[in-house]
Amino acid sequence: MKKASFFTLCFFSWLLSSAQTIASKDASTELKFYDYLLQNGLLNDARLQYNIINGVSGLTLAQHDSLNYLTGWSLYQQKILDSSSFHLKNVSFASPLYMKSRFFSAYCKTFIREYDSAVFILNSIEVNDSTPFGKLLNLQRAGIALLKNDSVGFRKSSSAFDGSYYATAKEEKQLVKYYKDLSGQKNKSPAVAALLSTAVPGLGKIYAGKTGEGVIGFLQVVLLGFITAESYNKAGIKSGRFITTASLLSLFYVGNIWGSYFSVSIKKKEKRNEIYNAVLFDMHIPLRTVFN
Amino acid sequence: MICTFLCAPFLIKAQTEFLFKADSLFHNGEYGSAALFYERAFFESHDVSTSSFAILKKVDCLKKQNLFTLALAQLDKIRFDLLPKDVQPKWRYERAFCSYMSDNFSQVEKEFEFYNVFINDTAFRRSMLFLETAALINEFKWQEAKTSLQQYIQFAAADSLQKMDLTAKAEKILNHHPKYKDPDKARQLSIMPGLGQLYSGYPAEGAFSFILNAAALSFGVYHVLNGFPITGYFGGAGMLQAFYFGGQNRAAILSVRSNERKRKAVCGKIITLMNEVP
Repeated sequence: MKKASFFTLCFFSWLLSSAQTIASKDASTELKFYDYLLQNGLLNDARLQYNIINGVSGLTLAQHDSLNYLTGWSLYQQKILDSSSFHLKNVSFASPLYMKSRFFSAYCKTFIREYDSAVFILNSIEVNDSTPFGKLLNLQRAGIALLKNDSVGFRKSSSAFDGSYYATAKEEKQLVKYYKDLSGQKNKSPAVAALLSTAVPGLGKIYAGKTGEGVIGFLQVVLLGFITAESYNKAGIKSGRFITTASLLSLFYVGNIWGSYFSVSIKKKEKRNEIYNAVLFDMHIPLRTVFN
Repeated sequence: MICTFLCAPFLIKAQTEFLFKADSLFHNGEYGSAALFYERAFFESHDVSTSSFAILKKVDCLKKQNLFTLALAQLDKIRFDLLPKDVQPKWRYERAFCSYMSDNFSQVEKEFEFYNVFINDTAFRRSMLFLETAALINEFKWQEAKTSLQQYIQFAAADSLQKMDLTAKAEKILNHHPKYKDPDKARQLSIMPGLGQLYSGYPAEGAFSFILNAAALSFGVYHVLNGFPITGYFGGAGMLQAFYFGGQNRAAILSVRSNERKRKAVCGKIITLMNEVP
C-alpha cells in the first residue's frame, strides 16, 4: 500500500512538471509559429495569433520581449508606426534587441511628428556619449531638434558632432547643412509678392520661387489683355464683347494677385517639407546601418 | 486505468488537434480563425498529404472571405508534382477558380490546359470547362469560347435533347457577340472629332464632341474673318485644343467602359445558360 502511494505521488509530480514544461514549450512553439506567419506576410493570421499568445499564461520575460519585438518590427515594416512604437517600447532592457527596439520606437514617434514622445523614449536610453550608441543617440536628438525648429537644442546636440563614427559621419554633416539652409531661408513677404503681381502679373510668384507658375500667369493675363484691347478698339467700350473680355481679364488679374499672396507661404511650406523629409531620411539610414 | 486515460491526450498528434479545431471553427462560420488553425496544421505537419489537405481547407476559408488572391498564393506553397495524385485535380480546379475570381483570365486558361494534359480525372472536368468558357468570354475570344462551351454542353448535359437545346441557345448568344473596342483605335479615330466615341458605341457623345469642336473652330474662324485675329487665333485655338485632345482621351475611356459592359452582359448570359444543366 505504502509503495503504491509512493509511486502514485511520483507519477503525479512528474505529470505536473511535464505540464509546466509543455506550457512554456507551448508558448515557445506559438512564438515560432507567429514568427513564421510574419516572415511569410500572413498578416491577418498573425494578428489572430498575437491574440492567442497574449492569452497564454506564464510567458517568460524573454517570450514577452520576443512577442513585442516581432509585433513591433512587423508593424514598422507595414508603416503602422504608432502601434509599432508601442510594441518596440515594451521590449525590456534584458533583451538583446533592447537598443534596436528603443531607437526604432523613437524613430517611429519622430516620423509621425510626436517629437516630445520621441525625445522621452531617447532619454530612457542610458549610454555614454563617446560610444557608437551615444553618437547615434546624439544624431537622433539633433534631428528631432531640427524638425521641431529648436535651434538651441540642435546647436547643443550638433556641438558633439565629430564625424568619428562611420555610421553617423555623413549624416552629421547633412544635418548641419539642413540647419544652415533652414536658418538662411529668407522670410519673404506675401504683401510684397501681391504688390509685385499688381505691377507685373506673375512677378509675385517668381519672387515667391514659383517661376513656372509666374510665367504662365503672366502669359494668361497678357493674352487676355491683348484680346480685351482688340475688343475695345474694334467694338467699343459699351459692346458686349469688350465687357466679357474685360471681365475675364479682371478675373485673371485679381486671381493672379491672390495666388501670388498665398504662394509665398505655400513655397515656404514645400521647402520645409523637403528638408524635413531629408532629415528623417538621414536619421533613418544610420539606424539601418547599425542595427541591420 | 486512470494513468492510461491521462496519457491519452499526450498521444494526440499536434496537427490533428489543429485540424479538429479548425474544422469546428469553419462550421461555426469563423473563417478567419479557422484559416489560422489550418495554417498551423500546415506548419506542424510532416507529410505532404496533411499539408495539402490543410492548404485546401485554408483556401476554402479564404474563398468564404472573398480573399481570392490570397487563396491563390496559398496554392503556391507546395510544388504541384509533390502533391498526392488524388489531390491534384482539386488543386488545379482551386487555382483556376481563384484565378478567375481575381480576374486573371489568362491564368485560368493555363490551368485548364494543364488539367487537360496532365490530369486523367473527370471529377472536376465540368467545373474546369465552366471556368474556361467564362474566362475566354471575358477575354473576347469568341471562337475558342464557342468550342469550350460546346465541350461543356456535351460533357454535362443529360440527354441529346437537352444538348441540342443548349447548343442552339449558345449559338444564338455567341453568334451575335459584341466586338472588342480597342482604346488605341478609338483614340486614333478621334482625329475626326466624335468618330472615336461613335466607334466606342456612344453616338450621342460623339455628336456632342463634334459640335463642341466645330463650335470652337467656328469661333476662331469667325473672329479672324471679322477683324478680331487675336481673339480668333488664341481664343478659338485654345478652346479647340482643349476639346480636341479631351475628346480623344474620352473616346479611349468610353471604349474601355463599353468593353466592360458588353463583357459582363454576355458572360452573365452564358453563365446562366451553363447553370441550366443540373
